[in-house]
Amino acid sequence: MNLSTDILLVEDDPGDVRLALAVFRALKVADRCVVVNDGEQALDFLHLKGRFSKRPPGLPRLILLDLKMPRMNGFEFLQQVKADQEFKTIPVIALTSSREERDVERAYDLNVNGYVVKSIDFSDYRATLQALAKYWENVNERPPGFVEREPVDSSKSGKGKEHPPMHRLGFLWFLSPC
Amino acid sequence: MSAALVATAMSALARILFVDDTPAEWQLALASLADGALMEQTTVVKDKDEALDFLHERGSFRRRVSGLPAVVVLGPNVRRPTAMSLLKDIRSDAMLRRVPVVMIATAPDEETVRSAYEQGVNSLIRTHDDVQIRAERYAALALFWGWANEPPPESVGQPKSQRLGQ
Repeated sequence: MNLSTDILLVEDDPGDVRLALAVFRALKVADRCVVVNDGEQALDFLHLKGRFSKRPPGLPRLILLDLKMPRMNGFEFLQQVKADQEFKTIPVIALTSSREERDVERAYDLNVNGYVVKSIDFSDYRATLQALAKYWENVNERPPGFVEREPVDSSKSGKGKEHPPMHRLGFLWFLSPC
Repeated sequence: MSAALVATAMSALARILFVDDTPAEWQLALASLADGALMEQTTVVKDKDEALDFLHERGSFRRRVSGLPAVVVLGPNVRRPTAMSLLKDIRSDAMLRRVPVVMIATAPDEETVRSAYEQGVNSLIRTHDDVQIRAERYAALALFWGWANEPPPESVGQPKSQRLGQ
């Protein structure tokens, strides 16, 4: 089986990470979500460098990007990804607490695919994440370079029934303490 | 869809601009919008020229409510060269370049998907023969782009954060 990543979550706030993963798990829309804490780690992940040098190959089909982070912030990361021929087609959604007009404009100017504001209202934020996950995981066409996993062989499961698509299994892969 | 309803939609402001020349597709798309307010704020145009007229507030749209839509949706019946041409026009126009554009394509191959993203499409959706699945995809599209996503500041209507009173 190939081991590729569905969502790369670039977020330094542990609380926001927990909430996002809980929503994705509940919706069973992401079978693997890799969490990194800043833009440098995210680039390492894409380039298979550092602690990701031995990760399975393939591109995430979605990057969720906080904009305000230490070391390399979201804007710097976005600029580098969208200027890279190999990575520019990966959809990147800004997931940020900033609703400042200049940040929204700058993100769109850097070719962000979508811009979602973290609501301070928990139920609203959860609903927003649900809308985001349902659309980008189930509806949007995955970018080229995403490595398809082989389907689960149900004959080996012993249960004798067809498995749902892997991307609906809700198995999350944590690489970062959160 | 009656001509009167199309005319009504065309005169309204738009959070969603839907480009497609097939009435059955308009009806499905509009019927699938989960939020009635979104349906009321969807404008349907039939081709690239009408879409540009709308975006530039000219021709039959010169008196429409000012501002850009939250998203432009290029329907499955827009020929692919036309869709790519409209996308290119939007991305090369200083006033329009930030407007999110979603393309709905019939059986897109890998090169089509890659090309669309490289030309600046925000999202690409594969259409489906099953009407129910198409309807679900329209509903998910409307919910994300019409509600969850923060559009560029120049779009009509208040940003989601302000609509929520935050």
